[in-house]
Amino acid sequence: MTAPVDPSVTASASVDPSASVDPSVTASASMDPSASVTASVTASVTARARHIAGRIRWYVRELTGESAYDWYVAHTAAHDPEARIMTRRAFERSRTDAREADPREGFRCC
Amino acid sequence: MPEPAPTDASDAVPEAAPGAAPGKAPKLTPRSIAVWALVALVGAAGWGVLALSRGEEVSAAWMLAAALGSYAIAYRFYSRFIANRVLKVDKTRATPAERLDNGVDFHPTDRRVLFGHHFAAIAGAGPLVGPVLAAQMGYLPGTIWIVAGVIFAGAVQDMVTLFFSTRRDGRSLGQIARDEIGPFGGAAALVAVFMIMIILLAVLALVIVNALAHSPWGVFSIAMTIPIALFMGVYLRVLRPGRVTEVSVIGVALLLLAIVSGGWVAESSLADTFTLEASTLVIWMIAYGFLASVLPVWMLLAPRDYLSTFMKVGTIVLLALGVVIALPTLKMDAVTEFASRGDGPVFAGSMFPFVFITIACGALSGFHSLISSGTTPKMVQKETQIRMIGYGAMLTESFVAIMAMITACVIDPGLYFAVNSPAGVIGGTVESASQAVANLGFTISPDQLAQAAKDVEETSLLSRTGGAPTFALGMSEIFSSVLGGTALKAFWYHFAIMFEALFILTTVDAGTRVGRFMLQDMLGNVYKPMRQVSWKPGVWFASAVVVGGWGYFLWVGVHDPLGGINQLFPLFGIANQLLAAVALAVCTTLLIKSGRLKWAWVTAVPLAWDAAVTLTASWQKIFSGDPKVGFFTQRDVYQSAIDRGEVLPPAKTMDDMHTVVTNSTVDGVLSALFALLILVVIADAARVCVRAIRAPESVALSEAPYVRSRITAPAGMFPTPEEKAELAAAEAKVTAGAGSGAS
Repeated sequence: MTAPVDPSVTASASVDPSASVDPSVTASASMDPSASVTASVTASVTARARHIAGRIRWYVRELTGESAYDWYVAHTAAHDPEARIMTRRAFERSRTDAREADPREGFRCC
Repeated sequence: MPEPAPTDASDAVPEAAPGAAPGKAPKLTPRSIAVWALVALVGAAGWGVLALSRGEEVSAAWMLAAALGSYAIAYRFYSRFIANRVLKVDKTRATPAERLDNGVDFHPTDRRVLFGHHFAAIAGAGPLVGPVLAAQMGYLPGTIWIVAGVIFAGAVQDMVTLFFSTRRDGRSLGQIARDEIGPFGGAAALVAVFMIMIILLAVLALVIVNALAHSPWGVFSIAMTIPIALFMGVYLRVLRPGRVTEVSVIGVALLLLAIVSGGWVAESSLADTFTLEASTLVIWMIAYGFLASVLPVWMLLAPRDYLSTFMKVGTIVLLALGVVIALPTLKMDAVTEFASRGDGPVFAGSMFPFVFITIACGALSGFHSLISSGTTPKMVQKETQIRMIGYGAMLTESFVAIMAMITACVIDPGLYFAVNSPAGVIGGTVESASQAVANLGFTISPDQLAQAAKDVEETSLLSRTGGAPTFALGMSEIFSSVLGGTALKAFWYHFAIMFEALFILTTVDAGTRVGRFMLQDMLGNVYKPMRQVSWKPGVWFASAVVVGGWGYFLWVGVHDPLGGINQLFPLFGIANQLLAAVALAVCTTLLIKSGRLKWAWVTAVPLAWDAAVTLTASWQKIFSGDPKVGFFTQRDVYQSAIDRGEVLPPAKTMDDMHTVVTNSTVDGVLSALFALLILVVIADAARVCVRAIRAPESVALSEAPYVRSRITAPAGMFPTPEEKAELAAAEAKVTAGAGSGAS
């Protein structure tokens, strides 16, 4: 499970992990200069691919509501540290129960 | 534990709502002028080719150019104008998501995620069915309405409703109507919503029944979605709560397996078990609707919802790619004879007003105003993002409608009419169909009809009305030309049917629950226990009433000798546009009441258009002397034939005749009721507007109080350089504050 985003950063931008380490800096030093160039290019390509995959994963988790629990935990920790935090199972159940009570919340259009 | 972000002294003293429009005029550099001029040129070229080509086949590329160019211009200029000058969205003002943040339903959500949520909520079967039916008039009238309608009416409605609902802490359209217009207007809105829901569910269910009748492959695959959903539901509830992505991946894989295995079943001895008549399917649909709506949400509806969202987004993306790669040619005429004559087989009536009634979602859809005043306003992070979410999501749905229009127009027109004309017009054999289509002015041979059916492994494609099979045919043409060739046509066809059926069935379930909730709410005023959502007898009773409501229309639609879609779809369109009129009337009233009288035309002009279209359509449906159009004339013609003892085609028996009389009466009464409701709401809204104009001091707005926002976030999809600077500054401030030991 990804760590919940630090809720104290409410003044800042949309809290997505957009700032990533510059991949080209991670090029490993190697004896042969041309091999080190290809190595650094491959490293930057794979790092970029991993970055994009991470962004897609973030988006899908947010869109499907999979990250709702993380947000809930972060919110409770920030605003009411004494409160008991529900387990994931209990939280997800409470969400579907709320939806049962008011079906207009999840309504899909024509 | 670090304290939440530093509190400003300024938010202890809420500033008077400044309506401060920070949107200074965007700098028009020569480069941006050149870019937008190019976009305009591409769009204009597209329109030119679409409108002026005669006889030659036009490539779908021109339709895409016209649509996308127009959307880009509209989004860049018109939506920005509305957001900054008319609505005056305020980036310093905290949205309810920020003020009332409770980590669950009020929760500032990243604009890109909310765009996805909102789009998934508004895009359903509507943009796929309407344009396919409207293709009867040729591709041009429908396309013009889809693009012009969304730019000036539909996206405007969505955006303005979202804005006003956000300013009122996410209050629903019905509540806002009651608060701002008056109890009459509010009550009319509620009744309209309930009735529209019933008809919507009936029409969608009818689309599926027509697609699945006599189709063992289809019935098997869709039947399999129930155990798949149940499995996913148990997985999410018991095994691994909340792991939506992984269960959806499993679900989609199982779904694809179900589609493929449908083909095996269709060729095996089990085929007969799954070959069902339309009437049998009606009973199954009603049973499914009732059971699914009384089962707990986690069991069936929630997993289906995830499945259909993934499938929907994935298939739309695939279709867009397919169209762009294949760039098929449009075989349908630009404008057919039916546009002027008004005697088309798919739906009767001339181009005005019926093309504008038939295409709702994708151009202007009242239903979207319910979504725009539902959960989305509770999640908007910054007011400035309302432009992207409200206007932008609707433009995207309109693009889906354009793609549906393309799929309907790439198949042979003769095939189109054979599939979409009711059985009463074309008969039951490929020979009679070929003959009837020739009478309509198009040619297709019986062999071609039989071959088309064999290509997609259906027993017959005749009279599969409702739009879904036509869309599936078009999609299978496009996909098989890109990937797999003719051998995969059957797979793509059934994939498309499955894709539509999946979210239609989810909508049927969700819609029944919403209708039941509204009914329980209304009845709860009379009989207290009805209001409790947990009281089983109340739930079962209300569900039964709602399912009975749409079930009646579904049954009628399947047995109507004149064709269910032919009769019911205009009614659905009128009802949807009626709700749009309610939403636009509410928006216009709010614009005037909030002192924006000189900008009220932004919603008042689409309202006038919508009212003109809907009332003309209702008038024609009630009073027209043409029995194909007017319900009461139809009733009289058939009633007098009954009195004479005569059986008029396409009815085959005296029972059929009585069915036609009953249906026409019910449909006519409903049309009259819808027209009455729209007049009540517009009159009531006009009364309030006039009072607000005459005595502006007497107006009391019920907006939420102004609270300074502490969030910094971009307005559009990609942050502008100024926004990046703001974000950097905000982050620097926070790290400085945290670093100086604020805990």
